[in-house]
Amino acid sequence: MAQTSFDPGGFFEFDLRRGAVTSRGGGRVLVLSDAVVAPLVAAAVEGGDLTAVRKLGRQLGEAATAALAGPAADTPVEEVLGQAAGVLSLFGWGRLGVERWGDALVAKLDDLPRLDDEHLGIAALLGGLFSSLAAEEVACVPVGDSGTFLLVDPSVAQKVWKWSRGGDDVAAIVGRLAPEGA
Amino acid sequence: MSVETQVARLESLLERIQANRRPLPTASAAPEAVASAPAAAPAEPSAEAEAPAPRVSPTPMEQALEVELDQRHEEDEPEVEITVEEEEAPQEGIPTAPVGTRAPAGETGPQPVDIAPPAQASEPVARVVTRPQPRTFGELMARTLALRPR
Repeated sequence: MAQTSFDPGGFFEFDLRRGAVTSRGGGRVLVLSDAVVAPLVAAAVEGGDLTAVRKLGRQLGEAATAALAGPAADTPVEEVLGQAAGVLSLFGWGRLGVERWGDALVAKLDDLPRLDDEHLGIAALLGGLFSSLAAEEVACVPVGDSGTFLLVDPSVAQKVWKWSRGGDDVAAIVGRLAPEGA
Repeated sequence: MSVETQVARLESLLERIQANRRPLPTASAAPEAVASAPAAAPAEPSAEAEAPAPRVSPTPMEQALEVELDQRHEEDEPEVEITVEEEEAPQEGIPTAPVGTRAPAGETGPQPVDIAPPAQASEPVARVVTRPQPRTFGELMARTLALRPR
């Protein structure tokens, strides 16, 4: 029977004889310092290719959905987000919180590692995570400088990113959005 | 002095007053005198008759009577005539209440007007239309990803 809340017990297995670390599900992982990862992510941001970071987010999402009893789309919101937050914190990416602003969804990550100035690496990581959970492409746009990210469809991410860089806060951006066809 | 004596003296006084008066010539009398008289040189009396007769000064008694009559005439015809209809004329003898207590107590202040209360509403007066919160993660993400710029 699947757990309704995230259970971190036995998530990692350290095989000292092999010198390998595997996560739940058998995937090998590396334990890296943020001081090492940060320049790698910054280089990816400058190169405009955050595919690797996004892929890492997808793997985290798969780890979260693996603990669910059924498809994430049919699972209660709290349960899915609880699994996702647990996996994120276990891999050391910070403490995830989610807010609903009407139909808009805002992810807040506390104690997140500072990989680049505009949190674009973390945005890519969260985008991959939520894309895996939702089973469709999701973009996370940084808003402000406090680890706040707005979840949007990738087709409007560029415009939302412009608003955010122009100084709009979450309330202003959400006020500029409306359900499609409304 | 008895009353009869007084009356007699007043009558004699009036007779003397009438005797002292000379008759005033009238306009209608003069032509008739000219038509019936034989043709003759006009005499002074005819010319005298056409002239207006000098007015005889009234006696003290007449003056007194005229003054009294004039004063009475002025008093009998007042300059302002006040007409009071009989129906509106106050009826004397009917006792009336003092002005301050004529109205019944309680009617001098504001009087509330009864207003019918609203009928019991057959259904809620207003409804707040809200969409149910998404229960599944799929519903949540579907709403989020449907947002577009206005």
